[in-house]
Amino acid sequence: MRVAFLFFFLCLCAPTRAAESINLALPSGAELQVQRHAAARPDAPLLLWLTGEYGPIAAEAQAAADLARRGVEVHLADWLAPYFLPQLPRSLGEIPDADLSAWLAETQRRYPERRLMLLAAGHAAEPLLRAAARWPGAQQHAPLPTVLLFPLLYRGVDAGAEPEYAPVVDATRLDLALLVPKASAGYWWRERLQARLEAAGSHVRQNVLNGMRDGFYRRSDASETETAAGARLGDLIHSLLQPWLPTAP
Amino acid sequence: MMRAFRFALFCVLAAGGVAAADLKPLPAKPAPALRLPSLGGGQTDLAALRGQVVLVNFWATWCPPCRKEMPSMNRLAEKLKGRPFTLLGVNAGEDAATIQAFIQQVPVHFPLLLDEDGASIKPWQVFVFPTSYVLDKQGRLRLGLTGSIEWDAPETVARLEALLAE
Repeated sequence: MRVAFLFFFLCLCAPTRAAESINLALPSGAELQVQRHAAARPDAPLLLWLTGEYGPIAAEAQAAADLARRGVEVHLADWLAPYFLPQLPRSLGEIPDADLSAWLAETQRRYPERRLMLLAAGHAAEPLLRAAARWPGAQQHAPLPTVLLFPLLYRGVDAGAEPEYAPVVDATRLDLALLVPKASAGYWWRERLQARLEAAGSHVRQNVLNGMRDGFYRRSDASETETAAGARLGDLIHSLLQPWLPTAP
Repeated sequence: MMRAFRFALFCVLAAGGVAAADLKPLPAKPAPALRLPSLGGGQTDLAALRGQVVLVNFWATWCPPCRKEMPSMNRLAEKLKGRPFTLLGVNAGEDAATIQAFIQQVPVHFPLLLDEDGASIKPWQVFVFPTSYVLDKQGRLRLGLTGSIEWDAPETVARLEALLAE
């Protein structure tokens, strides 16, 4: 028993492989630099993570490394850098659709034996859905497993009016896991979003995170609870991915 | 420095908290019903405030822009004291203890209503925090705002005075 515990402990403490960089040439001529956190198994599922309007975030890189250690390869991609876009939410709307879908297609071409999964947070959910909507592979066998952390998919919000969702919401047909912090406006409208996504053909499951706000792991005013949850982001994402992961032999 | 700015921007935008907005005119239509427990006890019914201009502010303690605008709402309440004007702060989704702890840090000098299960969120179309509505004396929605402002700024007070004068 002690030996088993020691082995388990050593596995947890095993140093993470350093991330390697992969450069992808995009149809627009821009070059995307992807941070690859490799998993040990050559057939490990592969999570493509489109980072958001804040560029590379340390907590996200740490979570990617944690996931790789747990058997999920992660490719983190900062999509603002290739176009020298400012780190603002509106910049995410300027990423060319063809480039986004080329990322998925090229990754699948390079790793044909791997099951692709997608992830984005906040405003980055919209370009991620655009990438999937344009890529035929997203529907080829089964809807692509996709995690959206506190997705922000409104076109704009005004008092006294129901906000419109981004058009891609109605073009999305994915297997979706949504993480919704309870301390957020999105919490109160989560069923509306789910109904809209399901009407378009997606399968949706939701996970509510108590005591957290949107962007909990990257806030400058994070509470102790949020900071602690941010340190466990990899575990949190792993639990969201769990239904899609192969079961141990 | 730039990173600090981005984080500050994030704080007000990402968690459903929005800043730097302006009061927008709304088509005059009857406001949804609002009858909720008050923080100090008893019930507050919006219908009983007919004949007054009412500012209804939807907020939460976790929302930085909501906290930011509270002092200016205190000053507004003081400025319009004695006039047919009422300011109601509707807290969404939090319990009385959380709000009590908050007002120890940020004093609030106007009535706070408790909407712990968020029943008012949908009829009042609150998609971000803070969201505010100004009702005229007939109980109609007249002005709306998503995000925070300085409520005692002269141009804002002038718009409320215009409704008070109707």
